Amino acid sequence: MKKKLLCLFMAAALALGLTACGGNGGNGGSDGDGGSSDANAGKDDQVTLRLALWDYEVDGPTTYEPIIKAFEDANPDIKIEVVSSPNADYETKLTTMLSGGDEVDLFFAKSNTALPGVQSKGFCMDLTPLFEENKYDLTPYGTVIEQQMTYDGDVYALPFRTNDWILFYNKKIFDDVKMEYPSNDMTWEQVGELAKEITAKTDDGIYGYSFSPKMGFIFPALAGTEDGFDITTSDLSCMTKALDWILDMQESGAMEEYAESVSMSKDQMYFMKGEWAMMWNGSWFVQNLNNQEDLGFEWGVAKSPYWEGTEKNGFVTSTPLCISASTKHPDEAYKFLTFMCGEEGAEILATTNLVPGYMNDEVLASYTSNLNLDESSIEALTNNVTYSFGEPNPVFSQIISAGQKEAELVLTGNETPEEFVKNFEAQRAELIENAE
Amino acid sequence: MSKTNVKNKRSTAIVRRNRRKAYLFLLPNFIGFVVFTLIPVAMALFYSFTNYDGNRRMDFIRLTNFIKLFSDSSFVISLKNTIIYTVGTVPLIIILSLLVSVLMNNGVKGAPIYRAIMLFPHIASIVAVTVVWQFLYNAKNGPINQILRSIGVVDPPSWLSDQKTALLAVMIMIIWKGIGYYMITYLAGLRGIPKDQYEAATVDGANAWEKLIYVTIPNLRPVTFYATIMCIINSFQVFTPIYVMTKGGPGRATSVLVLKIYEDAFVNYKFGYASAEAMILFLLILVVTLIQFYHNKKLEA
Repeated sequence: MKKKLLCLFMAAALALGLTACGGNGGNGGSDGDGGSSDANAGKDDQVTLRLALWDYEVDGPTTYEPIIKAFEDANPDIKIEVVSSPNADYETKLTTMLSGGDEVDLFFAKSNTALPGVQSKGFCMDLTPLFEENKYDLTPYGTVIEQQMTYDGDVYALPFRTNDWILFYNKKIFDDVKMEYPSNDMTWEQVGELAKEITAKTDDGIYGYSFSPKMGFIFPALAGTEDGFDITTSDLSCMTKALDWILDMQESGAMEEYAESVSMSKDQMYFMKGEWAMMWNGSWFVQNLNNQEDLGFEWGVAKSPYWEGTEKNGFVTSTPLCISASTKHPDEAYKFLTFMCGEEGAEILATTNLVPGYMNDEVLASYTSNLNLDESSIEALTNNVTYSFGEPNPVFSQIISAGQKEAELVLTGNETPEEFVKNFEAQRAELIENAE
Repeated sequence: MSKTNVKNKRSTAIVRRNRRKAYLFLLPNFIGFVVFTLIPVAMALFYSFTNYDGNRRMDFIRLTNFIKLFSDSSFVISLKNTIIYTVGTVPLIIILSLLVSVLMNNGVKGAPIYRAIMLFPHIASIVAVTVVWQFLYNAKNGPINQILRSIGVVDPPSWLSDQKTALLAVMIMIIWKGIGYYMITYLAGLRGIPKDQYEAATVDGANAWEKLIYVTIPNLRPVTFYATIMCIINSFQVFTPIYVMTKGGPGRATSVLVLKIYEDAFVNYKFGYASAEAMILFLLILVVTLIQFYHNKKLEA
């Protein structure tokens, strides 16, 4: 009797173990599916395209859904299935899907700096033949195609949106201390002075200036310290200018110390809470701010500050959309790509306060008329001259990541800006050498 | 004689039949092991000799990955940090959990309550615990530094943001978290020590310290053996607290092997290279475990 019971128990335990294993195995591909795939049951001629992106649960309703819906209405034979994952996990998830052979037809690269990594591994389809065949006009995308999406003369992605980095400011704080708002022509040095003045005039807990306290949001400022900067080839000593500036801001108390912000897990929410008078961030933040109810203050934007002695330019990133090199439906995927990143998509996207990669007069008019911002702010968001990290290459993102880690040491007081230059240059040389 | 023979035959038949059944029961688990562990491990070994990047044609590049590893400063730093971390945490966890369990076992008042308190860190989710410690370590207003200041430390360390103390900070948390589990293991071991040995020691005039050294610790050797091996393996494979707390920072001060493997595989798409790193980690663990086994055998003999 006892034995029988034991047998039963063991069998049950084993069955449990089996189901647990089975569960594990199945998880790989299908968890996090945002779209429903049962809707197309029974329609044999319908093609389903799988589209990988992040934070669909958050941004879907405002940003993606209207465009996808418009596309499906215009192309009833194509259905879009969204594969979403949380922001922080997206790149890992994308890697796993692409290299694991999971069928993804289109995917967003996290940003233009992440694109070279994906492209150099052959995950992106070369779009040039398709563009040529369809006589697709790339001029509305401006220079971003050539600077960020082209490798060896071939185009591998289209920019869904571009993000100019601009200076957000809290009008209420400026009004309270009776100071003028930041102008559209300021150097970082001037912003620093302004921030110190505000900090001196306001209560404790309010900082004149802040970055979003993550290295990815700070590091771009370092790349603007020299015209034509290229992170792979340029002399890095120009970056000390920016690091010195940040250290000075921290010491004077005009900016909260980086280590402190990080240990309190701070992010751009603190601008929304009214604790930061100014903040340098990408233009997507306009949408976040406009979607806030009861923000409690008015805000505006100014053109990105620039370093004294450089041209008046601001950092720019973009969000590339790629067709997977292994897709079974290249024609349908191409159709969707040129819809989402083309004129139709841009027209819809422009109404949501995001800057479409595709730009013409109507799109621009639609974008600016939906901003609900003052004239000077609208000016700040348009006609910007931009810089980026330089020519993309296979170790591009690794170099940037190494630079961020090294810069973090400066911001936390572990290293001087001069040591940063030396160590970063050594690591860069090592990365380039190891890649060969 | 013949009677026992018949009996033996019958029992071997039963054993054989039971064994078949036993294998059948083991089969599902074994399939799981093969599919989800054995095959991936074999594949990783294979990948470590290639430049596999997840998509393009992979080439067999022999030992290139392994040679590159040692000129990769990030790998060397991660390896060093992993070893420091293991050497720093394992002995302390083992010694402290042994002492705590001996105290608990010797009838301290309210032992069950203390036991629950000590075990709590082990039960709590590592991610939640890590986030809380991140606040504790806050350089300006964190409770730890406030206490340090109140007892007269003028310039307390800035813990997680200082290159020199960041790894130490993670280690302190892990020691605190690790004690509970090994304490329970030791408590179970202590229950198994025959009372008469202590009585004999008392008769011989041994004091409490001598009893600990000459009776308790030798009797606990199998438990210590198990605990040390598990603890070392866990330390070599540390990932979550580092990933949550510092992401390897500031700079590369807390980068450890598994974090480096993760970054190379899933951020940089260097699967071949990451597999080579994993093989080094595997070798490390294997060597340490073999030494332990050898040492334990020698003590047993």
